[in-house]
Amino acid sequence: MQRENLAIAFTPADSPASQMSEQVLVDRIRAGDSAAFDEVVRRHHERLIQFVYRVVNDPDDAADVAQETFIKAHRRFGEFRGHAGLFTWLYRIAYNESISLLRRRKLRSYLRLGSDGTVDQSWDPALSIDDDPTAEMESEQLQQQVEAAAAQLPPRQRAIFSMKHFEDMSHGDIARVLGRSEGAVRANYFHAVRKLRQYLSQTGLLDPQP
Amino acid sequence: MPNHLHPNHLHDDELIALASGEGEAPKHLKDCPRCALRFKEFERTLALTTTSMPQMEWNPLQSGGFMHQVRRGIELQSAPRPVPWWQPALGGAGLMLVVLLAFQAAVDQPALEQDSLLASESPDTIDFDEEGLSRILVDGSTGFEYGETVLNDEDDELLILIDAYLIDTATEDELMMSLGDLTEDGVGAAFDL
Repeated sequence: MQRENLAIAFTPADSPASQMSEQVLVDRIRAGDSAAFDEVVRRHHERLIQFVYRVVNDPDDAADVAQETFIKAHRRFGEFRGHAGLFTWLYRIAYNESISLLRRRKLRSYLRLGSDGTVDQSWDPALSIDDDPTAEMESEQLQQQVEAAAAQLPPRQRAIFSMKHFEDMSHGDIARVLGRSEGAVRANYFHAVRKLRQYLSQTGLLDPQP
Repeated sequence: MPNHLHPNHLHDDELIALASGEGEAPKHLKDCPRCALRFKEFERTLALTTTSMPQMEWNPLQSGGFMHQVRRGIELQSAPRPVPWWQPALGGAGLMLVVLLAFQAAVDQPALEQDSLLASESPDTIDFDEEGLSRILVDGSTGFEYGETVLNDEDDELLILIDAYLIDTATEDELMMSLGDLTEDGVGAAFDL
């Protein structure tokens, strides 16, 4: 295929599409309006990338999975019925893609093809702290411990915790994303918090503050 | 009655739900130091994990590149894929091979039936089979060379696919699909997240 055939024209951020409601965008995407889909990507990609990052724990993989999520969403847009919100639907695809990536990662580790199977601990957090170097170090240590605690959780529990606390999603919405019952989601959430408490307790972070 | 079995004590799940902002705290929580302490621990757990959980750095300038990649992926998937010139020829050759094999099998069948008849009349053959079976059962020896493995069909297919994956002729998805079929298999279970 000729490369020049792939010339891509982006819709400017201040285009009419940026003012449209989600329902109008959905209708226009169904009618084949690529500018409307660009707008969906523009609106949701940052949140989606952060969500995937919390599940897969790697920035490059997070961007790749989010990208693949939007490409799949475009291909399968006919399957979107609108019962749940568009973002919930995108989350569902992103979650499935994340799990698929983790399985491939595990497989690579099993086949000894480069990956050593350990969780990539390359968080690169943006620190928003004072100039006090002690405070900076403490904050960094705290983040590392919280990150290590989160890494203890299985991917599904990480995803549930992330959706509940970072996306303010209800257990019902999370259940729709994961394709599980609300009760199962609640049980997984409680299990995740119990595990986090246990880990943080072992590291002394839950000791009474002086 | 031990303290943790006290009927009024709140269960961990109830404490977590309360710490997550669901429902109203019962009076017992104010009166019971044990439940209050545990509730505080869950509250602090949630406070720490939600405020100190690292975020992925994302510069708004990266958004342009991201959107470009998405659009390019969409364009690529909607473009018709050219069929390689050798594919129709390969299909024809494969069909021819199947026909030849079927023909060969039809020709060989009467000869095999005759061999089978002769073999059943020979006592030596029966002795050999029994000896071989007892060797496997008693000695644990299969008669195979060291390094050889006795495989069932599923294992065999999986190993062939892994070989194909290693030399890049099979995709990871194909391999994962095969592993997914082997849910009872230990290897399949190992990849089930």
